[in-house]
Amino acid sequence: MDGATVYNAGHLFGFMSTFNTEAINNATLLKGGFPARYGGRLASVLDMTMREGNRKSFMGGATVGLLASQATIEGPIRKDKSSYIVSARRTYFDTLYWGLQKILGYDVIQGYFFHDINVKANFDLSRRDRLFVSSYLGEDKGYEVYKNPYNGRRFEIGWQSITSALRWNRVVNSRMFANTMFLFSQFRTQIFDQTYFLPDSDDEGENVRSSRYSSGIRDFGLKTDIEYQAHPDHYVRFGGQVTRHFFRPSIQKHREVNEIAGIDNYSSRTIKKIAHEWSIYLEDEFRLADHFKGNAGVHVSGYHVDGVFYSSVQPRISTLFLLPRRWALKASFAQMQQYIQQLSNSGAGLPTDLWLPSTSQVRPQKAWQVAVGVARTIESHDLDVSIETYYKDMDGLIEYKEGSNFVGSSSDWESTVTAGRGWAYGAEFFVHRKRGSVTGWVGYTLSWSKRRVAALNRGEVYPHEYDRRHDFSLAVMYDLGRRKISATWVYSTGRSVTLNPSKYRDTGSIIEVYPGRNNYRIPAYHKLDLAFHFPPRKTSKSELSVSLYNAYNRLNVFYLITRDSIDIDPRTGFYDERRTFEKVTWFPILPSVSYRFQF
Amino acid sequence: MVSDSSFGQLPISVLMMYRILSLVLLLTAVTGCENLIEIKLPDSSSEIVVLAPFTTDIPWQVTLQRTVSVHDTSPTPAVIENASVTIQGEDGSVVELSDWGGGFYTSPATFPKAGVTYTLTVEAEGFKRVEARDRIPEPVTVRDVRISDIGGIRYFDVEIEDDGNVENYYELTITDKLLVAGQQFIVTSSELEEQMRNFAIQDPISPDVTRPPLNRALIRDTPFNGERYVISFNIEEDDILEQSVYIHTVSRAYYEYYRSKIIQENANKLPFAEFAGILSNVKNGQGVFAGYHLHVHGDVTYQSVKDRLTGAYTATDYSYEYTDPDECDGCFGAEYLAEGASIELTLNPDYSTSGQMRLPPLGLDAPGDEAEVVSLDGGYSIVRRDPFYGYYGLSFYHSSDTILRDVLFLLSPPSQNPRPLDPPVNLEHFTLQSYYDWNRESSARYTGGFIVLSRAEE
Repeated sequence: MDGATVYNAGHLFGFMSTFNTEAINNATLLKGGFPARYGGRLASVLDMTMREGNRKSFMGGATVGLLASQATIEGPIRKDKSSYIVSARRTYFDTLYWGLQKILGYDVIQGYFFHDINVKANFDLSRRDRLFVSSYLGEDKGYEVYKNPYNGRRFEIGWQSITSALRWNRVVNSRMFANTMFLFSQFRTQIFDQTYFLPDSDDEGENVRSSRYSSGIRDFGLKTDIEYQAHPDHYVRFGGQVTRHFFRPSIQKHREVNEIAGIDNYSSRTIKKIAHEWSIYLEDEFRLADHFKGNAGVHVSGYHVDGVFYSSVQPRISTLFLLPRRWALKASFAQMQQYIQQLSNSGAGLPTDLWLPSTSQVRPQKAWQVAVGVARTIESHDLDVSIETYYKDMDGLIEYKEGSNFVGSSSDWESTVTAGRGWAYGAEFFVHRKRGSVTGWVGYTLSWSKRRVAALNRGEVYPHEYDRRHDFSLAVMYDLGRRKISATWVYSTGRSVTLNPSKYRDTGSIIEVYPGRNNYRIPAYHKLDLAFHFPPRKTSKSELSVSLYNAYNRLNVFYLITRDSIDIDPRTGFYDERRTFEKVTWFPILPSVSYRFQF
Repeated sequence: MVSDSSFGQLPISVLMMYRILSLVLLLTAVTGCENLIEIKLPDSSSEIVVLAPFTTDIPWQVTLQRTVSVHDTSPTPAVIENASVTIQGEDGSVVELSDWGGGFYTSPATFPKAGVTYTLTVEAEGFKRVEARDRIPEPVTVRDVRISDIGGIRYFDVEIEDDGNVENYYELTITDKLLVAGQQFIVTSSELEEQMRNFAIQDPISPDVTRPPLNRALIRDTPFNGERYVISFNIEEDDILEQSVYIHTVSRAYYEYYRSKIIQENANKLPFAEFAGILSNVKNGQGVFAGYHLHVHGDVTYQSVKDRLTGAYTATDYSYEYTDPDECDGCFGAEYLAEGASIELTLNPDYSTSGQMRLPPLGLDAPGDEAEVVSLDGGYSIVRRDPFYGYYGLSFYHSSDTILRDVLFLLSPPSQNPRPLDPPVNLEHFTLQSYYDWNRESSARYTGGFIVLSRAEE
């Protein structure tokens, strides 16, 4: 986001983009051949730029829906010299839903909300210098409250991201630009769990047990990028970045108060880690002939933590050959190193990811990737067609050890993880139509993603959680002038999780048998969304939207829960634990109306 | 290409299209009531489970069952009868175990030898042939066992001489002399802290458990290979009178199986924990076939326990109760002896049992149902019960599908309290306390039952 890292790429557990499209100017998704200027990531990079406010006049717009709203205002600070934009979204369905649940007399009340705000201002300091200030704040929170006459429970899970960027853009001369940025990013995830017993009388006192776990990362960075048109055929970029990472992989606070029993225990532990990362790069976007162009460069990075130093030199190259009949052949190679590790749990439960640093014991992740593809433009039908294949090899990926717990209290999280290798390969097919009354695309990705970690799964290869064999998307937008109809259908193979299909008994305990890690696949995810946008009056600048989310009411599985219940044999009085797995599905079919207007 | 976020894959034009659609997404969460649908896991093929730890003092005993679906509700293990069970030693010995019913296979007069590698072969209809190999490791040299009492804590120092030429694995347990019940202890040797932490339940309320209380400590010799080493541990002295200390030298297969079992049991007690697989040395099957050698420091030996067990017993309590404070309609129980049940059982020195169990009619719920008498002819084995109390427990095997087969009997005084303070204690009795369990859904529910078998009047 304007150069700062957003560690949380989605609201509602990734079901929805973190980014408010009203506030975004440009987004570029970089996947295969990263140019040398990007570093520190093994997977894709979504490079987003926030929109700048209108410098001429004050403007505003809003979208009002039944349960959420969005508003944007923008305008000049000094006309033609500086401007600002503020855009915010907030959902409020939880408050309505709360009431509904109360009316229905539910014991357990659940809710979820998120809000985010984007702010950006820009100033012309001189003809050559411009200054930009931008900030993003996004927060998600889900909660569950249970209460009966005897006791109660409150459970909360939340995420919060903040980023800020201060950017100074200088036009050094007609062929050279410099951008210097001061960057700040923060991400925090938190779980709060409180159980309390209600006293029988007023003098009985408090009886509460609560736990709070959180995990966070905070970065300060300084970055300079210089772009230089060295030659008509050579566009050179170089620069560097220094980042101070402040990790708090685990913060735990526990409190237990029982005034009758005279207990008041409080414990709090924070694990902190400070690390410094730096990088420099040089890349040349070149054209060697009319039919051959590319981008070659090198990214060098280093990382200090706990008195150890890791470094890497990462060559990057991507090339494009133009072939006859408007075919193009693309090939790229990139090597990457990442010092921040994402750790995902593999069980049936909520997908919860943590961001953790490389340390003296946990080495950085490394990867290299090759991609080869062809693309063609079919002018007669306004179609862009591409096919790309890739292979990616990763090392130093971390996973939880079997039996460990992400809210565990093991005094160092490093001992709860283990590292191994991963590789992924596949092919992407993409057809895109950008012009005409009917636009849209068809995309299909066939892919494999595997891992092998010595300490897991008896050292055998297993599919990665996000091993998705098929991923298909179809989007069609039909433009009827001021009215628009759109439809999207997506399909992807389900996530894989580890479940035990069988069990046996050993001396009084039930032993669960796991045939292998990630042995079970959640059913495929697919849904169709339809939308119809039109102006309420012929001359109106506003727009009314009627849409149908999940049109055929596919109950997609969000996560699985295990439930153990006891069955009693009336004959003998003894019982058996019975385990069932239940899938939790969210978001059934939902029609909706929203009204969007500008002022 | 490899994007973990579904939105990350979309070009900006789509994000723009979602501009309004996104609001719909928000709307959906109003009905965001979790929709629960039970899923059935595909039945994986059933496998043979072998449970056969072996040592020199106990004749060959192998129990067989099969894995069942996790959704299975049968209250008893799915035993495998009529299997062919053979143990072949590299010394040329071959033992065919006989089927005593209830999945129990034994050869009461044949004992394993230390240092001989044995291959177990199991063939049963409908299953893949199962094989496992292991040996009883050479006994450890125990140089010294020192016991001291300071300030209510009893300290133990066990000095062993580790063999530097091989990887050694040890197991420590303590048994209280009077109760013949295991006791929890804490290993304090700092070199073993990291290993012990693996057995800690990562209970967030008591963080930093680097020295968890253990029923059994499984130790790898990595920190002291080839050295004389003192393993230090202690117990709180409250009600402890005299202990026997058990120092096992165990095979790697034994170490791995029981270690992974403890880790799985701990992981199952907590939400959010990663799954934990069991490490088995049984080819084409599950379970463990593993040798150990036992050095006992104290009076309570396997033989002394066995000698006190043999004889005739009758049931003096057979009941259960179920309570749910939220829903007191659900509070009920039954006194089966009063309803006409009875159990008569004789334990013979050769590990065989004889006797019968009378099950009462179901009563009002099932008119016309009659009492049923089933045979308890079969076998028993003295096993270790973990993770809670006992060092020694008793398992019964017979072809009849009874509750006795499913639960483990603890040796304990004729009281429901597993830890009585007042000697003298009558060790001629043992009771089953069907260890109650908390329903994970709601910690308010309680269910449990008792069977007490008492020595029959001579």
